Amino acid sequence: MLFQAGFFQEVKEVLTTKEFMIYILEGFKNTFLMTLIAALIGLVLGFLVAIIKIFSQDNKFLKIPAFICNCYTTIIRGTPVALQLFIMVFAILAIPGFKETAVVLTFGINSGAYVSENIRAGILSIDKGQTEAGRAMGLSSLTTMIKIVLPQAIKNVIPSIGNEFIALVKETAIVSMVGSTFGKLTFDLNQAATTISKDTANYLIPAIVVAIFYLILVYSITLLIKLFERRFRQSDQR
Amino acid sequence: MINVKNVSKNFGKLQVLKDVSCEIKKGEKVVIIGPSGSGKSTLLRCMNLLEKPSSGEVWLDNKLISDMDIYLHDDLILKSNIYHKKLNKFIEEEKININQLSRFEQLKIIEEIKKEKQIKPILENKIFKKEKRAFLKENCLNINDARKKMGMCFQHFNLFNNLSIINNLILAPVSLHLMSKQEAIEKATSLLQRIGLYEKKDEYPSKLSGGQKQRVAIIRSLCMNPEVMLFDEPTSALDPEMVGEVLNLMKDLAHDGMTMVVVTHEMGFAKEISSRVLFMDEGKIMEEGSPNDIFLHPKSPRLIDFLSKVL
Repeated sequence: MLFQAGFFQEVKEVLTTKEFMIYILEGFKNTFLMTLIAALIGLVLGFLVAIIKIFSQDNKFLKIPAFICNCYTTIIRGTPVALQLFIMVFAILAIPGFKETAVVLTFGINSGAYVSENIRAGILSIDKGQTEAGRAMGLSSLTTMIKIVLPQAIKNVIPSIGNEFIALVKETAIVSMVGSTFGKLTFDLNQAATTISKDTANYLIPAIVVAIFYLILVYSITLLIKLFERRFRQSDQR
Repeated sequence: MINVKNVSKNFGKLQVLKDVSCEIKKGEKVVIIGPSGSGKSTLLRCMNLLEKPSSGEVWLDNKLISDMDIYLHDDLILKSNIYHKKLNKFIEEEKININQLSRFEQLKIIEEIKKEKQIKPILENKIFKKEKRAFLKENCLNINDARKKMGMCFQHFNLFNNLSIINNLILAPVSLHLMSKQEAIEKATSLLQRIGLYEKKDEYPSKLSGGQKQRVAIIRSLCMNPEVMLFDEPTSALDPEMVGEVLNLMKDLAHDGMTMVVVTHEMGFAKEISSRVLFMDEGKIMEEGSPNDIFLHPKSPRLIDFLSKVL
């Protein structure tokens, strides 16, 4: 079926029809944008949650925030993202015109929970002596964290955070479950394939074309992560 | 200078320090020796509160830096609810007038309270809380400010791996606004030249040998112009041939008149530079005195046994 005569012909047709390409490029852009914004939200949230969790060990004022953070990671990691999307779009932020915000927030909040655990693991992997040395010189725990521990921790967590973002790219494909319209942020690559398939009366070809675009997006993220990794590894010439 | 008052430290059920008191005066070079597991390192780490004492207090330059231990303050106990309860009971039982109460009897009640450890500061009365707050306000020193005056060297050096040598040296003085960046670099440069590692200033710690790392760690503390230096087994993690260079730097420091507290297994070094030696075992200071007394005329059988094994 896949390699029937005319397969490449049909792929070529999808790629060269102007109308289809508009859909695909629009979808590509939206998938990229959703991932980017969600990743940023996830990073900020992840850092915040990880640091609160770490500091709560010896700061009694952070016990309640730490409890909230624990609830957050437990609930988010314990429920399917599709469900979270439904609840966010149709219940919590069910305001007309806020669908795009709701979608991006859902993905951001979801990835924040995973990123926070990655960062926490990274911070815990740094030798306790580094913190002690910083504290013993009179630096506050926050300064020690920012200037000494985090730079070393980030280096260690780049691969796993990269992994998380790659997963996020593909996770955004479920956005069509809450309905997407062309021209909105919710019109992603997956939706583009569905839309095209209505015209070509064949889902397989557009799906394969879109898969290639996903691959391109993910591969460029992989390259970007490798670049970051090399940059951050400069301090340990092992 | 550093005053350790009745400090105990528990790790779970294990009591590592048992009611240890000692005082370190300005200019003294105190060496702490003892078998492993005797609480030497814990005592040293309690001095700059890297370990929080379970009970007892640590004072630096007549300022309280640890948490307050109420049971060390008789005048505060006198103001507590528990004391008044006990007092009333005592008066009832003995049928004496409150004005006839002697100091001796007061102390007896206080001793009893101390033994039972019944005061809960949160539940105490207003006068007690007010007095406590007043005491803390007058005598308390923020731990981060206290640590600026205390340099610390670790067994495993703990240089900041993400920073080059020069940045390791200037990080603390610059980010604490003790010096401008320019001044800090000048100070760091002169210290690096003193230990002969100036050409390594832009390298990262992973490129240095153990002895070099430890010497950099020592001058990193010196960059803060500390009043006292604490050394936690500075040579234990080094190759034998690198021990000498670190000890020489420490000897230099000692000759410059730095106040030092050193936990070490280098008995030769202890003999040479120390002005006082503490011998610890099982969480207590078993014997203390001049290096002559300790090494040549040890008294307690435990110390004699220890010295026969290490010398």
